[in-house]
Amino acid sequence: MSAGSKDWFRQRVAAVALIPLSAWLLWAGASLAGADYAAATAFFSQPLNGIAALLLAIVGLYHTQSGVTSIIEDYIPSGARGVLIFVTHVGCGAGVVAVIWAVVNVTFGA
Amino acid sequence: MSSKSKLRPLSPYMLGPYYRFEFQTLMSIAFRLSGVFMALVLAPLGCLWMLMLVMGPESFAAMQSFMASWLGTAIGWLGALAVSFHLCAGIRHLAWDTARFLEKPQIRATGWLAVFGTLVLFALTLWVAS
Amino acid sequence: MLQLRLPKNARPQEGKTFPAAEGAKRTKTLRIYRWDPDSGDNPRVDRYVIDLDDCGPMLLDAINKVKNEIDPTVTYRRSCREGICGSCAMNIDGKNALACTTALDALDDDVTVFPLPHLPVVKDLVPDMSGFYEQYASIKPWLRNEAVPVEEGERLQSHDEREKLDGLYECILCACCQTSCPSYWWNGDKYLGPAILLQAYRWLADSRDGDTDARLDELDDAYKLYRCHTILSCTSACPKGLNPGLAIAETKKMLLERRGR
Repeated sequence: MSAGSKDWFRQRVAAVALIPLSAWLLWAGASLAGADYAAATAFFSQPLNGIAALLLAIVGLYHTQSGVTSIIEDYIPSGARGVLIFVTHVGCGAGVVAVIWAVVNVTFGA
Repeated sequence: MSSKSKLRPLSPYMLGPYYRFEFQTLMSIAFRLSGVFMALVLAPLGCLWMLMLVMGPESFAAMQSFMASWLGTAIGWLGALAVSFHLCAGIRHLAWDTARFLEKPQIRATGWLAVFGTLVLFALTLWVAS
Repeated sequence: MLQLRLPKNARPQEGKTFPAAEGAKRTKTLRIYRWDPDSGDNPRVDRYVIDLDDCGPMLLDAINKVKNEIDPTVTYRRSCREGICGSCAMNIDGKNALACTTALDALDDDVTVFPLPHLPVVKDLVPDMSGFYEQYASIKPWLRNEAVPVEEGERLQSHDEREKLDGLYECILCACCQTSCPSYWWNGDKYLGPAILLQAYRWLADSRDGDTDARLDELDDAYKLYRCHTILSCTSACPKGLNPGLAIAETKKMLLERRGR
C-alpha cells in the first residue's frame, strides 16, 4: 500500500481513538481551570487520568502531525514544504516526549 | 501557441470575491481552522502546562496565573470551542469515510447536527469549569 | 499552492457598459468576463443590459442575444442548449453551472458571468481544458478486461450490476465540479479532481471491468486521490445532480476494504 491510503487510514484510526480522548480533554481542562498545585497533582496522581493524558499526547500529536502535513502539502509549494513538514514532525515529537516525561513524573512518581 | 499560453490569465477563483461561500465550504474551513488552532496554540500550551506542573508549585502557579489572565482565558474558551467543533465535525467526516450521509440533504442535516453538538459540548465544558 | 490574490495579469478591471435597446421595460445586466489574447491588456468585465421581453428564458439565451445583437466579439462555448453537451459550463454569480440550464428568472438583476475558475483563459469565457482532458485520459477510461467474453462477444450484466452505474454514467465532463473544488485549485496539476475521480469510480463500479486492482493501485496516491478533503463543493456544483463526493468516498472505501483482504 502506498503513502496515499496508508496515511489516510492511520489518520482515521487516530481520529476514532481521539473521540473519547478529546471528550476527556474537555472534561480535564474544565476541571483543572483555576486549580492549585495540590489539586492538579491529585488529579494526575489518578492513573486513569495519567494514562489518558499520555494517550492523548501520543495519538493527538500523531493526528496533528498528519493533519498539519496535509495542510502544508495543500498550500506550500516544494521548497519550503520539506522544511515545514520536518519542523512539524520535530515539534510533535518533542510534545510527545515532554508529556511522557511529565506523566511519568507526576502520575507514576519516577 | 506556447509563448501565448504563458500569457494566458488564470481565471478568477478565490472564495469570496469570485466563488460563493456555501454552507459545506464554511464547515470545511472551520474544521481546518479549528485544527490549526489546536496544532499551533492549544497543543504547545498543553504540553507546556504539563511541564510546568512537573517543575513544581511555583512554576505551576505562574502557569495558572497566565491561564487566568484575559489572554489565557480567551485561549481556554477558544480551545474548548475548537476541540468541541473538531470533535463533532470530525465524527461527521468519519461517517462520510464509510460512504454514508453524503446525499445533499444529509450533508446539510449532519452539518447543522455538528454545529448543534458543538454548542452542547461547549456549554457542558463551561458548566463543568464553573 | 495557496494564493491570496490573482496574478497581476489576471486581475479583472471594469470594462465598458452597453445599454439596453430603447424602450426596454424589464432588463437584466450581464457582467461578462472579457479577455482578448491579441490586446495584451488585463481581463475586463463588460456590462450588457438586455431586454428580457425580447429574450429566451435561459442565461444562454441572454448570452446568445448579447453576441447576436450587441457585441459579436463575445466568445464562449455552447452547443446543445439542453444540458447534455457540457460546453456552456461557466461561473455564474459565483457558482459553476451550465448557462443553458440556468433560468434567468432564478438570477439577480446583475448577473456575473465568468469562465470556469482557476484555468488558463484562451479568450473571454473559453478556458483551456487540455489539462482536464489529459487527466481524463490518464485513468484510461475504457473497459479493461483481458478475459474472453461469455456468449460470443457479449459481457453480460445483471440489472443490479447495471444499476451501480446510475449516477455515474450521466456525467457529461463539463468540469463544473472539477473547477469548484478548492483542493483542485491548490494542486490541480497532481490531484485528479472530482470529475475525473467520478469517472475513475465509474469503471471501478462496472462489473464488466476486469482491472479493478490495477485501477486502485493507480489511484492510491497522496495527491491523485487523497487531496480530496471532502469539502463537497463538487456535489453542490454538479448541474446534472450527480454526486462526485460520494463516488470519491466509495473509492476510498474500496481501497480501505482491499487493505482488509
